[in-house]
Amino acid sequence: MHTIIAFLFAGALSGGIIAFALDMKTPREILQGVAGGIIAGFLMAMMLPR
Amino acid sequence: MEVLGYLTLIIFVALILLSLFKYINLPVQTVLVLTTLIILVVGAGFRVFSQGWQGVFLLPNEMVGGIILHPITALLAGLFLAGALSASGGFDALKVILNWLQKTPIGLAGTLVIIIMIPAIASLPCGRIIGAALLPLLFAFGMEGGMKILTKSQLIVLIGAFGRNAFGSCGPSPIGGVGQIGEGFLGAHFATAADGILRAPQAFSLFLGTALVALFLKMITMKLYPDDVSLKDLSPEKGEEKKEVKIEAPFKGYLSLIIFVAALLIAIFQPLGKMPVQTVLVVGAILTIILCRVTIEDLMGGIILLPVAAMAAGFMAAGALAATGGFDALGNVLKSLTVIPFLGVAGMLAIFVQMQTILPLSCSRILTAALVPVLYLFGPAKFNLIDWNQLAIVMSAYMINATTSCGSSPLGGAGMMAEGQMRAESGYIRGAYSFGAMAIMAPIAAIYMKFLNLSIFSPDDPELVRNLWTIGEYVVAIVVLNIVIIKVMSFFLTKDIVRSWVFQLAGFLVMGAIAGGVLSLSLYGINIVFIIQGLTGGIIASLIIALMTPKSLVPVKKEEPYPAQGLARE
Repeated sequence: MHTIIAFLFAGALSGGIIAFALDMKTPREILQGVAGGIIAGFLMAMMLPR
Repeated sequence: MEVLGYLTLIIFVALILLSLFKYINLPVQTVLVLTTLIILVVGAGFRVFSQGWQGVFLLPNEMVGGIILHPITALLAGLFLAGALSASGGFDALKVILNWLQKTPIGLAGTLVIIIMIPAIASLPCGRIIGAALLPLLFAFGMEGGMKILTKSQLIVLIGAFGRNAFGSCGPSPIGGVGQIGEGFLGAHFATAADGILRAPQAFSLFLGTALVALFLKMITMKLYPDDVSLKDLSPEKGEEKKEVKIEAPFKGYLSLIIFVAALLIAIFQPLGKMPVQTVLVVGAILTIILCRVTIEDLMGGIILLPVAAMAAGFMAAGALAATGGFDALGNVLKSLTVIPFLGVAGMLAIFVQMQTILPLSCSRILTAALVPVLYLFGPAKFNLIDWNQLAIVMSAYMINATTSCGSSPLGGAGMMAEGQMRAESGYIRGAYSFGAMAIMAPIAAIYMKFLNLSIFSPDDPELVRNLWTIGEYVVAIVVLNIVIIKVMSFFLTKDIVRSWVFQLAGFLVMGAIAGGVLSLSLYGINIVFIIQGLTGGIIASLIIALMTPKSLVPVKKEEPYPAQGLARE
């Protein structure tokens, strides 16, 4: 569970920063980036030993 | 033996440096094989006098004995499966899925984030595989690629960030990843290290490092090298119509993707009982070949041999160094640094974890094979400078820094694939990639190992705790500091090349110092002396890295201006 939470956090933070760097700066786009990051983080956590 | 060790170490380092600075124009693998032969000849010469002919005859055996076969065979099996996936259209199926994802509520922004992170999730043994498959898809988002969705600036960030993620994804890969070299050594203490003790810290820091690299590309690289990408931009005046490119994949592509994911999951979680990862991967590849009817020619086209050659050459050189006492000599040299008061063990380790970003080669496996045994010797196995837990922390920081080093290598490094795709001059992304590995990934991997992963892999140790809150605090602090430094650097960049480079250098030094300080904190807790030593080591490492970052690039050949308001040719 700890691993999943850690990766959801890392994914959300990374997703928001990447969306911003991609010039997608409206709240909706940033949130979409965060959502994408959370999905990526969850998938990554699922692949890791826990 | 001691003199021989120093001599062979000098030969090894000299030939690597000569390659790096392009005084030797040969592939690094070739140079390493030559290095191995020279070391063996020199070693034989010494042994004739010290041990007689019997010692000479034993030398090749000792060299071969130093080669670890497990990562090589795992890598070969991983490449075999990935080659089958590529040859059967599995990546086309992935493109269709990503195209569909854009139309869901997560939209374009969320889809692009997932695309950028896919290499880490896919965990292939070499980032070049997924890079070669998906970089053309990213290019298609731009003006020249046909979709006309993203601007030039967005495309640079997208390709650069994807490349950063891809060319670090070989580290946490469970199927022949670079990290498995370190996990093999940590297995001497952590019983379940081979299950992937280094994977989560690497993946965690790779996620955050990728994001900061995207920001660095946007705010620093594009300002520092404004004329060095020849991509065409979208033209707002005429309002280019966005085109939806139809992406299709054959049925066998979906089938191979399912087999690939299943093989990966079985290899990682072993639901069918303990079996070598190589067996699972080879069975998966054979199933793909049979069910998806992949021809041998297609399969060979999908296999990338560079990492195998690099790893084998690296292990050969490492074996020769081990047999002639080269590692003992390197260990002694680094240990002697620890007696310098302002450096100490903490400072030496802060430099050591950045070693492969300082010396970036075409494949990180080359130096990893040579340097991980030295790092191991710092632990209880020989020099006793650090305990097992500290060794695992340093190993995680070192490993992510090492695995990402092929991205910034000028010697045919993987990052050149991304530069080629974004039509940039060689060296364009080097600063961003080096900065990400040095300032963000190494310290965050250490923090993750310290406050979470150690307790997972050593559950009986009462001193080890799982503290997500502390990880969160460190991550936020490091990320915010990085953003502030990137913003400040960006603010001071001007058209004056030297002045801009000096400001970049200053940013590297600040973040290098912080990275060294955080490593010391994760190793020794709050101890002013160790923190200062870590800061000093971090500054020295970042200074060398920053000095190797290009001030300016060779200008790309300018395209002829388009006739009407710079619009695309008819």
